[in-house]
Amino acid sequence: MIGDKDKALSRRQFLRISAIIGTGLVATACGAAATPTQAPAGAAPTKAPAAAAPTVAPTAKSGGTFNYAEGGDFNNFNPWNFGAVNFEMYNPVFSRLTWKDGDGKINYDLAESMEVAKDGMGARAKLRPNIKWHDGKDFSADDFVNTFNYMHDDVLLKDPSVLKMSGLAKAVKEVKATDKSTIDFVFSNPIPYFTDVLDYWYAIRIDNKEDALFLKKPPVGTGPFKMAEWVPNQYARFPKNDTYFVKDQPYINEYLFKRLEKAETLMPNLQSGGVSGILITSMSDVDPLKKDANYRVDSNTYAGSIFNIIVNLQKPPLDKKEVRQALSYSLNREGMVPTAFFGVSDPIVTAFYSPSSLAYRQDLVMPHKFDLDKAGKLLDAAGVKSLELTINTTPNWPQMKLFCLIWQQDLAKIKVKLTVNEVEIAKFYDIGADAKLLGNDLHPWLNGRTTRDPATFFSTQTNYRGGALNKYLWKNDELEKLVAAGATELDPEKRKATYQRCNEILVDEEPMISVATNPRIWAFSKNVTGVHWDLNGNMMIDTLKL
Amino acid sequence: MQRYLIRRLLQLIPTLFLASLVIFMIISLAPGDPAFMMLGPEATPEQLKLERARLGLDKPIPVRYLIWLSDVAKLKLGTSQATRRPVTTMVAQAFPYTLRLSLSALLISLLLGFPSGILSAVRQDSRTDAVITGFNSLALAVPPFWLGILMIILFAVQLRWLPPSGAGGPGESPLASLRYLIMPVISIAISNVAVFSRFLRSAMIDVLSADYVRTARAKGLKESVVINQHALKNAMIPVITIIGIQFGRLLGGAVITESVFAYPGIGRLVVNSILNRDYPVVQATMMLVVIIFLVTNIIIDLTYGYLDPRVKYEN
Repeated sequence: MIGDKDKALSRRQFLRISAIIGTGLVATACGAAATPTQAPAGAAPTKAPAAAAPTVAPTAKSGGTFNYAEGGDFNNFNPWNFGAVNFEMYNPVFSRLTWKDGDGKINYDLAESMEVAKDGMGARAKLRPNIKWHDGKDFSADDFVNTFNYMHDDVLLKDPSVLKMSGLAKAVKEVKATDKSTIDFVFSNPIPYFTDVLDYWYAIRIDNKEDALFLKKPPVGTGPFKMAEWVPNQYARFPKNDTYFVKDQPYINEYLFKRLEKAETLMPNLQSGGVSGILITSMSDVDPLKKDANYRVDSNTYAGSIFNIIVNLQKPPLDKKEVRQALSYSLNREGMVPTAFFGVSDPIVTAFYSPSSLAYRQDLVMPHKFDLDKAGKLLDAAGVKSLELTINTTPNWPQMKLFCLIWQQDLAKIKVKLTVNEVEIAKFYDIGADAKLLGNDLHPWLNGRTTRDPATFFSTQTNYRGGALNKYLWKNDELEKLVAAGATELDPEKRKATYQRCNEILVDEEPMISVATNPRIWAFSKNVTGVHWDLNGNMMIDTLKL
Repeated sequence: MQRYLIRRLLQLIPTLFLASLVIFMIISLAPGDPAFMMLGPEATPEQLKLERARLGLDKPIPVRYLIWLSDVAKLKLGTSQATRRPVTTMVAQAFPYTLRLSLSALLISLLLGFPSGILSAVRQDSRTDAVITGFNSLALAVPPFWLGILMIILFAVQLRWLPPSGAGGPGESPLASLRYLIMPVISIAISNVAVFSRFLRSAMIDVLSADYVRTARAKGLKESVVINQHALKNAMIPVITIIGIQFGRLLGGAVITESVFAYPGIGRLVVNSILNRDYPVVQATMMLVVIIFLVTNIIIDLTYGYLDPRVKYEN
């Protein structure tokens, strides 16, 4: 009994003990800090001899730390996983044999030369000299062969990232190391888009099969920066790799990647000088930043992501092409860009909007100009007098709700009632993942890799396919045949014609209605220079200077 | 008292069991496929099937619940589905930050809330009372996230006195990292100051009109003695309840504040895990929150006896 004075503490004693406990708790809490993961073990790196053919002429080192911030947190460090939230650590830490820039031009990275066999059944890559892993071990052709072996390892194939890469490289039958610096690829059929495959094929080293995502121990790569520390939900630290194979690069000493939670806090961090670069997530920030002379805004339109709309083809009258076309004509894409898309996107009717794409045709970029009369006539032709449709948006992409609300107003003018609901992200994905959109008629969506080789696009974006792979059950035999032919056709002109025809079919049939591009946009303090991007839309900071 | 404590601790078992069932069912029945969330739209049906099997989602919900419950009983909280890190590690890393934030906010709230509540009660209906009451109403009305953003704009962007977010950078000493605490603590403490102040004012006004206070004054005791020794202690019981509840809430994660300031505590962990449908982390953190609340309630109940000798804990 607390009130029993013989047994219990006095009130004064109680308060004293409480104070001591409280102080102890504060001290414990203040002293406790997240334990960072260990830096990769290994011998101290030594200075490597100069590597051949740097992509940028070396100048004096700038030094300093590049503080950069994005929302969310890392969920793994394996570049084969290709997860958007991890993109900006791939190129600093890892290297590829070759990589493509935003225009699709091939650049040499680990390789100093690449030769594709005339019959298209193989390729040979020659490595640069003196490439080292971050832990000081030499990188040789055998290491690259190992990466291929990972794709055929039963244990590793259970890992989604390895599985994903094995899917992209499935036509590669064999990879051999002829000598320490020569890699021979053997294909099971011609792969005209092989350089596209190499663009995803980062050189990784899986030392522990239980940790293919590099979460227990930081990854070991060959890139310009090495990962030294990750404090979850806070930051990751990447000091420069002193043994990087490009002479005198990188120019800065360290890359510090901060993770912030809310889009609203990215801008204040940039403006307060807490960071000197951010990936913009709230597109309403773009305009004010563009007008501020202290910052530079870089937009990567060719990152390949687009806003589009999935159509429930199981639900009449959406199974009729004319109805889908009517919906396309009723979208005031150009009018939506300055409002719903904050002026940063481009209106598109096709997924193949980049001139660097083989499937690109200028006349197919915006053939469906906003035309409610035409939309109405198409509905009449399809025998549709009135139509009620449902669509669900998510707060994760405010653009979706905005364009749907504008669209709702326009559709009402042609007697189409569009009901717009907002749902949480998990529910949003549930709807998109269901073949019948959980009973909804339309669903806004995002597709990627539109600027890649069309073979890569069609093998990964299966909602644009016309066969069994399309979960929304759209059928088009001609498209399927063209896709199959394009994947092995060696004549560039024939491939171009093949994919342009695919583009034409998709614009005419509208199984997916394209709306606008979804560029990745960065803002940097004025002193940050030398940032560039690859065709994946991922940042490269090997030539960054402060 | 020991028997009372043992009885209360035993009562925790069915409560925790029920809480675990409710938490598990709510999370399991919520829309969202963790496998799809992890693999993304490009995943093939086969990949999704494999991933669901890896995550154990191919089993019926009751089976999954029993597996989870038996693991929890063995203190095995599992691995995060999203990050594949041990849940125990994730919680252990986040909790000290929340503890630091909560204790600091509570301390500030008590230091400001108590004097203002007492002053307001002692000078009831005066200008001082009006000013304090006005401040309290304003503080309660201002949403913490809005206050947080305003503070970031003023103190981080304009004045550049404080870091806008985070909890410290590499190599920063614990003392230096205290700078990161200032704005989140203020944003939480402001409303708690108002809560404590209003409750204490109300309780003090009741007590100050009691016979024993009049008697104490009639005995010629100093006003400070009357207030501190006689009135305040008796006014503490309802306030202690509120302090306990607020502290429990803070330890459960100041969700919005932690998000606005990118503060890596339990609240942020819960939100991210819910959005990612990271079942093991959500379940573990929610259970932690429940345990914190239950233990806090027991502590509050025990505290009553120390503050008021009339409170007896019958066997």
